[in-house]
Amino acid sequence: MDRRVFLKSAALAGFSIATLPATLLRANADGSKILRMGYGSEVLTLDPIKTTYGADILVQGMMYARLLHANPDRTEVGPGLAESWDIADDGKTYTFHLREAKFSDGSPITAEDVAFSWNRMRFQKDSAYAAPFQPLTKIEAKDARTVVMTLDRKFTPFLTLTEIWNTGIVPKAAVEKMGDDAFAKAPVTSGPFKFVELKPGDRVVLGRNEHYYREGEPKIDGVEFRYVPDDNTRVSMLQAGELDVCLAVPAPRMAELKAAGFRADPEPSSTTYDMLINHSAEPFNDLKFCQAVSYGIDRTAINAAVTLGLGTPASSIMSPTLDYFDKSLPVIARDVEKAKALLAESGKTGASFELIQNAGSADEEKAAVLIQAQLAEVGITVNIAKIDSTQAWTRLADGEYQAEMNWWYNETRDPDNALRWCVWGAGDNKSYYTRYNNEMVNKLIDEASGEADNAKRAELYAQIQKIVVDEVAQVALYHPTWLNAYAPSVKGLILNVGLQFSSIGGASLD
Amino acid sequence: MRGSGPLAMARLRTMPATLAIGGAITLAWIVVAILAPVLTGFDPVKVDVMQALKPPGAEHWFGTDAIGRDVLARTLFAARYDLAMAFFGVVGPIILGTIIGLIAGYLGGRIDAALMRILEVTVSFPYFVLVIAIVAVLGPGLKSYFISLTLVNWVSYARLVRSQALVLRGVDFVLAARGMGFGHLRIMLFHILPNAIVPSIVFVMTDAVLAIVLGSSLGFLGLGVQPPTPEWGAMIADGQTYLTTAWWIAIFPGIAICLLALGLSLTADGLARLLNTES
Repeated sequence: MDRRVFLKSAALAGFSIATLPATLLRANADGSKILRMGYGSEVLTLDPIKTTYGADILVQGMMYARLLHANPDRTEVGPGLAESWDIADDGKTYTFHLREAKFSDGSPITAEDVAFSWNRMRFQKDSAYAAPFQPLTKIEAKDARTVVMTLDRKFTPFLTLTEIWNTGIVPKAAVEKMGDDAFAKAPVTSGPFKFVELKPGDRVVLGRNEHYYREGEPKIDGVEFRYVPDDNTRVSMLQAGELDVCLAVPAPRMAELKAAGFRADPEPSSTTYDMLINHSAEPFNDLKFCQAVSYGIDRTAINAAVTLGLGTPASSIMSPTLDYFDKSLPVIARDVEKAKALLAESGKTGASFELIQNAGSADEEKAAVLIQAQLAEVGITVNIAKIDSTQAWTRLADGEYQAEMNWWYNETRDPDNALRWCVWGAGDNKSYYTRYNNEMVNKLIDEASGEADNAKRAELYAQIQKIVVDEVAQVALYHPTWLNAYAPSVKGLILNVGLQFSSIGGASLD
Repeated sequence: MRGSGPLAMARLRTMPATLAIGGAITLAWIVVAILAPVLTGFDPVKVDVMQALKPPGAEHWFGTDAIGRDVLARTLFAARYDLAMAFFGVVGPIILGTIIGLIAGYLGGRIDAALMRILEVTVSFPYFVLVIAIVAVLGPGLKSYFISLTLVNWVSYARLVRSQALVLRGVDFVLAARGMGFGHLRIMLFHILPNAIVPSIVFVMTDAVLAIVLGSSLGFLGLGVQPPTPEWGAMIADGQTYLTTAWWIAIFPGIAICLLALGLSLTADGLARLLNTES
C-alpha cells in the first residue's frame, strides 16, 4: 500500500527534465485512438506480483484481468474472469467458476492459469504484496473452469481483494517459458490492453487486446503511459495537446485547467497524508508527548495551505472513502493549552525532534514548515531534514528516524488491509514502521475481518479508529483527493480510490 | 625587474565601466544582506496561513507565499545565504587550487606528475555527482557543501595557476631571482603567484555564480540549506507550481538571483579588462 509515487516523482523532478517526445504529432496519424497519459513516476516492472509502486499498479490495472471486476468508482466488485462464485457455509472455502476467455496471444485462460497466478502471488518468495492474503492457504484448479481457494479462518474482506492489481491473471505457459524477468519486460496479458512496447524512462505503450473477454471493450485502440517527472511540464503537455490525461496535477493549477475547459475535478482518494512517528524512539516513546504533538497541530490550516481546500482535514487515520469510516469522529482539533499541559506531564519540556521530509516534495515541505511553526508555539522544537526519498524510505523502514512526512493509500474500500498496513503491530511492516503495537488493536482487527455482520464490523472499526487516534498511532493530517485533468475528448474515465482506472474498458476518446 | 604583478599596477582611474557597475551591484547585495532585518519588518520564516498567497500590495510589497510568509523578507534574507554560498563556495577552492597549481607548475617533475594524477582522478568523476556524493557522506548543510566544493572545485584553479606558473618559472625575472639566491618559497609567493593568479581572479567571479546555482540545485535535492531557511533557489522551486496563479513567489527571487549573477559577471568582465590592459 505504500505508493510513494507522487513523492518519488517530485523528488526526481529536480534533475530529470522531462524530455519532450520526438514527435509532437498525435500518435494516431492512422486514425487510431490512442489515449496518452502522463504520470510523474516511472513504470518499473510489468509483473503484477513484483511491485507495490503506483506507476506499475496503474499500468498493470489496464493489462491484467482479475477474478472479480470493480465498478468504476470501486464501490462494489462484480463478475470478472469468474462468472460466479460460491462461498462455503463455514466461510473458509471459495469456489470460482470461470467464464470462457482468452489471453492476448489467443490462448485460453484456464483454471490452471488462475491457480498459477494466485500461487505465485501468495507463495512466491519475491511476491511484493502477499501480506493481505495471510488467511489464504491453498489455491487449486479443480477442473478447467473451476478454482478452489481455501482459507484458514473466516475472512470477510476476501472477495474485495480478488480485484486488486497483484491478483492479475498471467498465462502459466508464457511465464514458465520466458521466466519471470523476461515476462516482466514483454508480458502476455489478460486485460483490456495487450503489451506493445516498454521504453524504460520514457513510456509504456499498450494496444487493444482483441481477445479481451468483455464484449465491445476496450473502445480505444491503445494507451501510451508516459513518464513525465516534472509536474509543471506534464500540465504544459496537457495544455499543448500532447497528453489526453495529466495525472497528479499540482493543486494550485487545477482551477486554471478547469477554466480552460479540461475536466479537472478532484477525484475521491483513499489516501491519508500523515506524519509518521517512531513509537520506539525518543521522544515519541511517551504517549503524552505523542498527544501533545497531535493537539499542537492545526490540521485545518495544513489542509487549507497544502490542498487549497481540495482535501479534508483528518478526523480518523482512515480515509473517509473507506467503508466503516467513523463519521462521528470530529476533526482532530488544535488545542495549544492542552498540548502544553500534556507536554509538561510527559516531562519532555523543551524536547526537540527531527522531522524528515522527502526532498523535492513541495507539499511535504509546506506541511512540515507549518508543523514546525505550530509546535514551536507549544514549546517543541522541530528540525526539518530534507532528504532524498530513497534514503528517507530506508531510514523509515530501519526505524532510524523520529518523525517523517508520509502518505499511504488503500487498494480497496474495505478497511482491513488499510488497518493492517498502518496500525497492525503484528504485521511485517510494524504498523507502517511506526512501531506502534497495541495488542487490543491487533485483536480487534482480526476479529473485525472475521465478522460477517455489517453492523458489528462497523462497531469494531469505530472502536479501532478511536483507539488509534487517541494513542496517536500516526499523526494523520489530512485526506487529499486525486488531482487529475482530462482533455474534453476523454469520456467515461475516472481514477478510483484505489488508484485504478477500472472503467478504462468503457472509456472513449473523441 | 621586480616580480610585482599587474594587480599592483591597477589604478582606479582606468577602471572599466563594467567593473564599476558590477562591483556596485555586488556591493549593494552585500549591504542588503547585512541590513536585511532593518530593510523589512517581517520575519522571513513566520508562517501565517490566513495571509497565504496574497499578491504584492501595500503591506506585503512582494506578496506572500503558499503558507503566508512575506516574499520580500525572504528574498532579502536569502541574500545572506546565497552570498555566503557564493563566497565560501569559491574561497576554499581558490586557496587549495592555487597552492597545488603553484607547486605543480613551479617545481614540475615528479611532484607535478603526482599532483596532476590526483587532479585527473578528481575530474574523471562527473562534477555534480561527486559533490552530491560528498555532501551525502558528510550530511546535509552548508558546511558540508563548502567542504565538498573545496574538494572538487580546486581543479579549475590548480590548472589555471599551474599553466601560468609553468611559463613564469622560465622568464627572466624569475631566473634572475634564482640567480640572486632566493629560496623557492619566496620566488613562488612573491614572484610567480602575483602574476599567475590573474586568470583565477577573473574566473572566481564566474565561479561564484556557479556556486550559487550548485547550492540551489542541492537545495532542491535536499542537500543544501534546510527549510524554512530562505534561499533563492529553494524559493523559486517552491514557486514553480504557482507561476500561473501566484507569479510573485518565484519571480522576485528569480530577479534577485539574476541581479547578483549579473553583478558578479560584470565584475569578472571588468577585472579581466583591467588586468589585461595593465599587463
